[in-house]
Amino acid sequence: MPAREVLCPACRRSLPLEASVLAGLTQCPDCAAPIRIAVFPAFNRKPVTGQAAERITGEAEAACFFHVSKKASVPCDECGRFLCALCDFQIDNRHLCPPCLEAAQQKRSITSLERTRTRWDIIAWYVNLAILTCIGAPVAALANLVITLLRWKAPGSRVANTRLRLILATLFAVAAATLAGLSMFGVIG
Amino acid sequence: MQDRLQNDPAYRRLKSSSNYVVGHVSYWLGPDHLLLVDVIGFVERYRQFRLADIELIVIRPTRTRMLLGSIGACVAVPLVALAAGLWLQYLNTSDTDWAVGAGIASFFAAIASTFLTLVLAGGQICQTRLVTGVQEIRLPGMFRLRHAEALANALALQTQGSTPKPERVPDPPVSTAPPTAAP
Repeated sequence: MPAREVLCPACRRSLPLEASVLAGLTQCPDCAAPIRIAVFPAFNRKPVTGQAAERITGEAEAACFFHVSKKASVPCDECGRFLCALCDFQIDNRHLCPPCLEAAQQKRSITSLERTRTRWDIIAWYVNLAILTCIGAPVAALANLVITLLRWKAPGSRVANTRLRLILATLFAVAAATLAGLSMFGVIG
Repeated sequence: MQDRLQNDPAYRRLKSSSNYVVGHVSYWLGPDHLLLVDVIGFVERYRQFRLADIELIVIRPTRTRMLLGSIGACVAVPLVALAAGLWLQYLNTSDTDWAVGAGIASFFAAIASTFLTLVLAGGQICQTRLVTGVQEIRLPGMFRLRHAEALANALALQTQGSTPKPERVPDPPVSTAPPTAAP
């Protein structure tokens, strides 16, 4: 059972901590506000404490690269340095040392560490708003072509197909520019 | 290394998203985590919650729908009546001034009616909170009860393979023995 409190979202008073009682609650016992609670297995799990680094007891034991007095438990998957439990960062089933983790974060090579990404396809559709102005279509088409060429390899959304949207935005702008050009030279309209 | 140029097919979009003027919020279920994607302008922000860390989903139904519905009805009904009256007046007199007024009233009546329909048809409104061992956050965009329940069910299916059912405390058995006579 967790040591902390579970609070009613309405009155912020403590709710019972038994999982079976929480799951069966339809209203707060204190303020009678209607609530529904879904309880998950983690609720009954004991909190996991971090593993402490062990001291070296014999000469045959390998030492941590960063803490020479600590026993190495695993090598870094990137650079191969020996790491103690304190220096071992487990990300996506990989063991990394602090410098490799920092480098990976800077290079944005670990997807789960990324917090933001720029959506160039949305920018391309914003650029397409220029089509609404009288000479905007060629400008939008040119701008979107540049964006597509320069940002083709940029990381897109983690969940949406940004390349397809980028192509559609560019094709839309090119089609609008073509129509505007044909109309301007009197071919159509 | 995971190909970061492609969108990840391991994610399944949950039927719970909210659009606002310059962005939207959506929820995606990954193999071992829940991914909250918040798009503001042209920047996509991510927030991950490991499924193994999620302890509770607390859903609190609110009276916002009733309140918004009442306000919408108070605005929409008079506007619809006004528009109908102006159109009738125009039909009787054929004066274009009445038609202009009726058109304007119809425009605002349509907006108010659409708002009212969206509020009522969307279902009950709620607040949803996600509780882990170290945090309790209010989930943005998760303000429809059916979406919140769908999220809880999807998480339950992913974490324990079944939909959580409230374990109700059984009622005490009703005694069927005949009352004993007082001495």
